[in-house]
Amino acid sequence: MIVDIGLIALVLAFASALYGVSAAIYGGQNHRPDWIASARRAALTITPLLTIACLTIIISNLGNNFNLEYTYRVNSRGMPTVLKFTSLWGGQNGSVLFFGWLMSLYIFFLFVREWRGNRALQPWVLAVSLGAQLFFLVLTMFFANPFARLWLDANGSPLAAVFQPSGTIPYMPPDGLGLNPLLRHPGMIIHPPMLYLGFVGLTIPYAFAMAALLGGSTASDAAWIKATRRWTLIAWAFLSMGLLLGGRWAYDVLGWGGYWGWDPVENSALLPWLTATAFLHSVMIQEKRGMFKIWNMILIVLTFCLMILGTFVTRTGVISSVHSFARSSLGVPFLLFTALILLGSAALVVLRWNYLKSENRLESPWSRESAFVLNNFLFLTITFTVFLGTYYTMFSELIVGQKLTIGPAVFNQLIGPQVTALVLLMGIGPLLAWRKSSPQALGRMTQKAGLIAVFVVAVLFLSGIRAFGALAGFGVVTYAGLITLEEIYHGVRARMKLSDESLFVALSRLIARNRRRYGGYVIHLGVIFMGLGVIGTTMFQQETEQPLRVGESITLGDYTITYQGSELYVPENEPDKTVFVGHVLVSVAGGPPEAMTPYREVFQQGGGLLPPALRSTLTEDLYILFTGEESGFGTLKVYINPLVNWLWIGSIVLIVGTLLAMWPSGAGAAVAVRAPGQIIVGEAGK
Amino acid sequence: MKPKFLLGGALVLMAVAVIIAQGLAAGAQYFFTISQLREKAAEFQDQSVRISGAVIGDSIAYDAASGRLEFDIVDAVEMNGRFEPIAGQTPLRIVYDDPRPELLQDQAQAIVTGKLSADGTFHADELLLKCPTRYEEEFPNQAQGN
Repeated sequence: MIVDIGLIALVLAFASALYGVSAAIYGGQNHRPDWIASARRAALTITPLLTIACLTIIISNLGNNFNLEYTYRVNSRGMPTVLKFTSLWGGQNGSVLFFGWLMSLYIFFLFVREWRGNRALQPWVLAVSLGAQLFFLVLTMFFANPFARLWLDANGSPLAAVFQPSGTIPYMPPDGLGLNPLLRHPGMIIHPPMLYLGFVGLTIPYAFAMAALLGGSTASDAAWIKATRRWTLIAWAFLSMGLLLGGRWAYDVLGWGGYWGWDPVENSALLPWLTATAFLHSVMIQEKRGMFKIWNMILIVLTFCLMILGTFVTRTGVISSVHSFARSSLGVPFLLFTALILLGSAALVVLRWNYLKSENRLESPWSRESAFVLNNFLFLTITFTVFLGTYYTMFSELIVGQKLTIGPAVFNQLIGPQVTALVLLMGIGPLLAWRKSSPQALGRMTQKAGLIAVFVVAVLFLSGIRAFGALAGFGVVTYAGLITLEEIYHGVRARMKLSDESLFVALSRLIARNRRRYGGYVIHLGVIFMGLGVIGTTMFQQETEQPLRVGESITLGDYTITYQGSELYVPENEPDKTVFVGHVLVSVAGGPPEAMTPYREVFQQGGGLLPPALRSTLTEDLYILFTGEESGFGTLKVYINPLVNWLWIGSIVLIVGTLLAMWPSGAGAAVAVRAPGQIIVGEAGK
Repeated sequence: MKPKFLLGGALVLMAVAVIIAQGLAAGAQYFFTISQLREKAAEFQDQSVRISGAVIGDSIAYDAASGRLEFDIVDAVEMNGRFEPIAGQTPLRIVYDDPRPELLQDQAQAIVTGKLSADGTFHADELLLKCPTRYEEEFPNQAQGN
């Protein structure tokens, strides 16, 4: 049977990973290129094997093979075909297999080309990345095997097992349970793979960092840090997209008017993003000035540990959260693995302390280096806040024996000021020169932006806004945004003067010549836009809710919303769901009424979706929810979300900037070739 | 110069960590079971706390005209991944000014944030529900029927 092929492929992939790790370690220790080459070939077999394993699950899902426990749990006959594909990652066991497959893709693309970097690193990168792969294959095989089948024992009660237990007969239920309704949204089809790609991608930078320590050669310094930065950026891009898509999904489906609730699972995906972002900044000091090597190593290890912890929290429901669909047996292996990584990495850093010595010193508090130190400091305090807040229930129970929880308001209150400071620094940091700059020079460069920001704050104050947080937020966002735009403008103007180019040509060449720098600026602009949306929604959201008879209205802000009645229907292609549609008329500031139709989806299996009807503009979103009609009353819940669209616009700008910064190009290859030269410069400077 | 700098940095970092921890502690809410809340009722009356319990399906009442929802919860223990209500406990009445959420059903696990009033009911500001749906439950009920 087809499922047996998948199981065999999984076992072979496990064997390959196990052999690969062993061969790589042996080859690395005894300097045997033949063993290393063999380990590489083993690594390359894992992707095809896991592809087969995933495909057999998909085939089983498509064919309604409910004898397979996984298909039974996440599929039903009534489900549309596209969901039968995506239910590969819709349940626990399938998603662990899928996670491993994505990891194997990274490893495949890393090793499929001839190894161009430092030879000494290769066996250790192989060993560490395959070690992580092996961990996830162990989980798939022994703790969350998607190839388990259903059997009936002598009493006629069903059980699940990979191999037929004695005295049982195969069992094929007539229909499956179906995919959790919350996961049937297009956003949920792409959000998990993006987040997973971000998570597993962090394995590669970790593998390079550990390889640099295990290989123990200073000459490999520049090579590992370059590769690490590149792979971190790729993972960071996916992680950012995953987080942003998750926010948009929540906004479109969950029906609470927001996009981020400081839920433990959201937080645990944010944590590695925070430390990875800190690393992407501080790695520049190591590249340019040979400083902060130990610190960068710690950031990489921390990021990888937070990733594993995040996966653990998401997959095991250890902390109660809207995301934890299941409680499972994955806890112990995850904790052991995290402990192993932490202890092993810490031991390596201590052993190789000498290789990580700084080549330079901080010369002035007014320098680019100091700006990066402050940047890392803030990222770290934010990470600490989120971490402590997320695990507060656990810590408080351990320490004082009483469960205490942290609500979203507390997170906003504590993190708001820290993020504001970070955005301010984001504006002025890039203006500071390496080594030494001065407050006077900085003042001269940001005079205009500062004046305009003060003017904006004054106008907001006069228009009646008194909340300090909002005024400070808008002021800082204006200031940092203008400085960033001015930086780009200076570059463009210089080009236009020098080479007589048009504005557009000058801008595109400017970016093409220095993608990393200007990609970074575009990312910063994205953050500025997102800042507008965050301030608008957290400080100025309005909300009302009322049961209404047909013909009655509610008013919120400029909007008058009149309830017109409801209807319900069952979609033809999804017979297991009922849709309740509310009809409303919305008139803006007394203008002509527009029809809007918020609805609610309810699933036979229980649960449902509450998507809003949106009237979206650049200034605000009108967000209407229809929660159902009961005894003649239809209940409407209405939110006004000011500036929220800037959050989504900013997200897109951020992703565009990331693509600019990381897109492989001729220029990228040239940098790689120049790398050895930089080491010489660095050593001469000592 | 360098040790001084490191020491200063470490001190600043520690100070900030303490401030953050204090901020969290000041905003933290107690998370009680129903029996714990009743033991400390005098101390915590009209103070925002968070409680959890299992929903009793028959008690759910929604008044559409006022938009007021009421239901009972009892303490539950987790057994084999399911929440089983404790027998014999006096249920706690939850009052919530919001429409009935889809997931509110018998044996759902409710996490409620709100205040205990003098009349012994609990006025909720926020209601989170985890539902005993058949998705990913410990073992197929439907299959057992067949």
